[in-house]
Amino acid sequence: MFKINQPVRIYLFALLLLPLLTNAKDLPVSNESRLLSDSYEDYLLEMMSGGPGKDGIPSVDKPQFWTVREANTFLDDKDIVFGVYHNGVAKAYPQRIMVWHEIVNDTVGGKPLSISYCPLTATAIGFERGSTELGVSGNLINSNMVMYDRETDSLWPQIAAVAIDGAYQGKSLAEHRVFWTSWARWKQRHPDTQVLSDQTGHIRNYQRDPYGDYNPLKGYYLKSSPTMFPVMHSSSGLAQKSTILGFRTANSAVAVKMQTLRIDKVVQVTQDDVVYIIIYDQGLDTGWVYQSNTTLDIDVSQIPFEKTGPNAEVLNKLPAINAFKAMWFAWKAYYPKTQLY
Amino acid sequence: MLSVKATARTIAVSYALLYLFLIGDIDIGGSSWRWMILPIDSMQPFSQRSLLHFEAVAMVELGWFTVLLSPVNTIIALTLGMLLALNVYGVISMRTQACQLSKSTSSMSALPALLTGGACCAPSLFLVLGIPGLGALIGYIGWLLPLSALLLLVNRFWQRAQGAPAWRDL
Repeated sequence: MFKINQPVRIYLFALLLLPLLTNAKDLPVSNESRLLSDSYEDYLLEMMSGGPGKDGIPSVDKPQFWTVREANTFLDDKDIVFGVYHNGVAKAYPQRIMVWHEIVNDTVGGKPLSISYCPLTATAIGFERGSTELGVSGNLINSNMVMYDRETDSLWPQIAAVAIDGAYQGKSLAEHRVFWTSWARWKQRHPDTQVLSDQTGHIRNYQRDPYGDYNPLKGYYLKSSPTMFPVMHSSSGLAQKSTILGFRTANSAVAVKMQTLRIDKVVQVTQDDVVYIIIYDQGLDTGWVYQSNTTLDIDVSQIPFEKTGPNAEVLNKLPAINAFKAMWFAWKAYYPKTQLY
Repeated sequence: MLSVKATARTIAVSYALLYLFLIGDIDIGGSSWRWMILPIDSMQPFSQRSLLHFEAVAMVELGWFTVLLSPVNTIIALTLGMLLALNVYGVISMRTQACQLSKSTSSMSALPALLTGGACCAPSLFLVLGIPGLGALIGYIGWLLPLSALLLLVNRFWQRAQGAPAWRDL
């Protein structure tokens, strides 16, 4: 009978393990699952070309940065920037540059992050990227960009942030907070911020936004302008392109009208016996979301907002939940059962 | 008064400029004076941003004008312009033969290529048209460019078959 000696057995065993080793998971995924309203198959069926091919919208992989003084020559105070703060480091990514690249693979305060922006849904979200990078697949679902990771080529719709295809199918990206705010607001909160420069390694006309303008508001970004691509679930109750602040957990999704948050300052939402406390940050014109067991009596005017966020003893003990602004139609398309406040 | 050839040349250059404007390689509305060129190892002139829309290797800002220099896009623009000019030249030359069909065909053949500007990076074309959901067709727009070139070529061959003079004959 044919016998296999010990060294050969070890070698064969190692060969069997090789696929596992080569399929190493470099991308940090969230330990918690994230709500997905439709099946993977339905998302893939609804996926369509946005025009450019894979990496036709090139991510910025070797970002360079300006100081505030240098950035002031490029940015108007009312221009939109996407701000990120981590470990004492603040960085701003101008919307006028991001609209041409949609993803910047960067490291902020020692943490590798992909800062993503989809102009068609007005969503800016940060993701932990480990030792790999995210890129733009060129496809859209619900008008929202579909990203891919350069480790396994899995497909990640930005808003869902759950892989719908590939080795990571079903996994959720670990998120990092990105603030959609104005240049004036961001540099006031973070006077030492760095700013993504126009030395992106690509030639683009950063004076022109192909979709319209935020300063002043025009084109595709106007609330009254039509959407361009079909969606899986249509919206009602609010102008399609109104800005909401959205967050989601494993089982539910919540949207708060920015206009409501600006007026009420604090919105407390109870869902599935969990209370979500949304605090308005006037300095950045954004909201911070916390999870609690009970409603709280909060006076926002007494809360100092620092670089790390609201500094209040009652909030510091609560787990924070990532939130981001979005156009209402896109949020509703991904989360048709969302609660709107 | 411009000669037939001068008219055709003007049309070729104008069409090429219009094409480059619509795909975003020429823009109006800047305010600065500067230029930027990619390092040789970063240049990807044959890399496509979308179907038949290629990467620029340099940019020049001349006050109100911004020009992105893409060698391949420029060649495509000039080729289309030249084909259109040949068609127009054929139409003018055959005017005495009252070839109205050829006139309309040659003019219309150039239009699809202009629409390719909508595929460059955004559904800007559909934004202008303002028809919701029409973006679903955007993946096919890039094919309008080869279609235009083909129509212009076929029309030019047809003109020649009908007795239109060659460029050098005038």
